Amino acid sequence: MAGLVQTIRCKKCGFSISLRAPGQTVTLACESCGALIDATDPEFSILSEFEKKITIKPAIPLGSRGEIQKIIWEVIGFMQRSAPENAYPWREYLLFNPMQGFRWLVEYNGHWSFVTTIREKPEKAGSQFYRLETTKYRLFNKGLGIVRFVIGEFYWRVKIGEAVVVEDYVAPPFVLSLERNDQEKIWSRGEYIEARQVQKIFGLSTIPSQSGIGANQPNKYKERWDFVKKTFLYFLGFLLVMQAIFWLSSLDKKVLDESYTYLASNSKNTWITPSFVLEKKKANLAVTLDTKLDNSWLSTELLLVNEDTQESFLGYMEVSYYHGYEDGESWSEGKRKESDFFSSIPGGNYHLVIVAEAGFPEPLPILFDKSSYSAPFRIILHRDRLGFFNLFFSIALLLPVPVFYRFFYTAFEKKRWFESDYSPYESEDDDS
Amino acid sequence: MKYLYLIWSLVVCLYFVVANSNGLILSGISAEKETPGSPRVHHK
Repeated sequence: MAGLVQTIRCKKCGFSISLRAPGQTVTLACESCGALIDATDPEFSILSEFEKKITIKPAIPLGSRGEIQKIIWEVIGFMQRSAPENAYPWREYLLFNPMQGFRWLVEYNGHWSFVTTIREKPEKAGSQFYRLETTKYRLFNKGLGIVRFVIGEFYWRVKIGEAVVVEDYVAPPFVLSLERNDQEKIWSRGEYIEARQVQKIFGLSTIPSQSGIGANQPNKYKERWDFVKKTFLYFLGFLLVMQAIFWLSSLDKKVLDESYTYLASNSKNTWITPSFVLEKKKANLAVTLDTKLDNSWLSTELLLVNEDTQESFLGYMEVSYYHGYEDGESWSEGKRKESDFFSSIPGGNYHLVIVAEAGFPEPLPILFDKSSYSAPFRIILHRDRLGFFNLFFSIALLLPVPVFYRFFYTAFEKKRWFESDYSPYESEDDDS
Repeated sequence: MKYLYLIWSLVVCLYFVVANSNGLILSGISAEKETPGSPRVHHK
């Protein structure tokens, strides 16, 4: 590469300029005075003079060489472009390799992309999307890009003040850029490259400091979020399949259905149910307490006694139901019927000892006879009925990690799209 | 961290299978186990 370098003298300031891509360079910008030189003219005539004193120093000096994607590139040109009123300035380094041609290193806010001009035209995939190969890119930015400053060599007739419409579509770590004017449309595809990698490649002592999130910067939570999401979905699928299997194999057999009446006049409201058999080595026992309560409550103490081993299990169930009419609206609270489970009960012969207590209706009706108050109820037992608690509980145990990563993944994306006028998160935020 | 989550998911699924196989329900009515010989069990 070094053998091809030609040296010419700037006719404006006399500075010695290296021509690193002779035959391919069309315009040469003097590193000293900024004058634009016609590289296709054997006399190297001046095309235009730069009216301002040069103040921009490229982070990568012209002539620097570095290896990117196993190819040695030489920096031959540098330009700074910006939106109107010099807003959002970004810098572009033209790289050259005699065998491979030209590439770009583009830097904005300390974020770098390695960019290649592409010949294939991406396919439009919606109002704000383009598709290239299998990747869908979303519109990130659209506006005028105006050339503000150039030095070095360029393969076209570059001019200060030259403006093109620039559209950037992102699919991190890639970016698709369309530059268009009345004459032509040029597509290029960039890939995010870490700043410290650029620094290492070109042996730089300093590199522009980073701010914000780059348009095509890879989301640092993406890999973990993808893994966690996939893991969660696999295990969720497993739980649902197992739930179906358990549902199909559960007995759900009614072993007891008895009715009793609580009487306020009784000093003790205690009953012993007939014996019943619980099949299976170990399974749950579903208890349903069905009442006809009206603005009152019924509480039961349930003692499940294994007649074979005398082992017993104690549980409590309470049912309350209140309703009324207040401020023009009717309301109700509680339920007349409740179901719950005795957990993990061994098989065997059992009976149930029931002790009930009940409250009087509230408000107490006029001329209410407390001594004659009764509260009938029915108790139903089902052996091995599949509930949903274990499913929901297991899902609840699996959820926090995906929620955590989703939160950080989304926060990163929101920060990225904060820079864009086309943020997919903007409408959500506006709504909130 | 992500492999910890994988292990955690396996543990949760194992719990789910074991719990459902044995009818274990943590939210069940407070089934306090009474020792044989307790006065309550001699109601009958």
